Amino acid sequence: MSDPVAILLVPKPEYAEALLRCGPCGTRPPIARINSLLVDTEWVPIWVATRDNIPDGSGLFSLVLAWKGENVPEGWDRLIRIARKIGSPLFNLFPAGTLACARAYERAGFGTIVLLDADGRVISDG
Amino acid sequence: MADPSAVLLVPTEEHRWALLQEGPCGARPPVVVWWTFTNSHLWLYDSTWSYAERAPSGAFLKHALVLAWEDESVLEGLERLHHHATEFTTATHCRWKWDLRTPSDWIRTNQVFEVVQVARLAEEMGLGTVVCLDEDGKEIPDV
Repeated sequence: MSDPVAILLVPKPEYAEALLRCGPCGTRPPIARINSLLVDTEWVPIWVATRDNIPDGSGLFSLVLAWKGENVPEGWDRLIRIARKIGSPLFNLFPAGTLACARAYERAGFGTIVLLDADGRVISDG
Repeated sequence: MADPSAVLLVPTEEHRWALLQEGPCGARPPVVVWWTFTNSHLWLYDSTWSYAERAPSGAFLKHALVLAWEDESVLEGLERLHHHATEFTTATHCRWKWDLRTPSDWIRTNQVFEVVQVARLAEEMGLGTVVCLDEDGKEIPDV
């Protein structure tokens, strides 16, 4: 299995709006979506979401927690804030590590973790 | 004197990029721009505007990170400030010890007054200048 360079959280429908919505004054979380024009396993970043264009819970959109081998603070901030708001257990990036922390939130029921390799392909045996 | 409805931090040149830059995959902090018209000025936001893009006509004179807007704290702005302030104090051993708690801890009651206090601390650290707006978008001096 190749090493993941991106970690995505595909939210459950009930958390999609909270995790993916845009905020005031142009605030946007980091989002990737399945590129339906090409192959259904390729995830690409999106740049055009606005408050009027909120990604839904269709499973086509995901919150980006790591990208190109780096943590994405805006993604973690959003996830931790929602977890705190609903009273879910909080998991720290340190010392658990990025992937272990992401898996913990997956087990807590926020959605499904998707791992991508350097080519943007899904790592099936994550 | 009117209570502030919005709290902005206009970054100094040194900290502008860290506080206003877009992140990967479309991540974007809350930002407003200072527009100048024929004979007036106004802070406005534009969700489609990118800080990375050059102003098309030179109309953008200033840019600010939004810490509170429409009488509510904006946690995304506070989080961006928190991350940068933490890195800055660590890197420079700044005498100002930034509170390592999270923005959600700072702003337990969602009071704009508390946001002003956080912004003032950032200002004292030299990260930028605080601007407070009333509900009509006019700047409030000496909050």
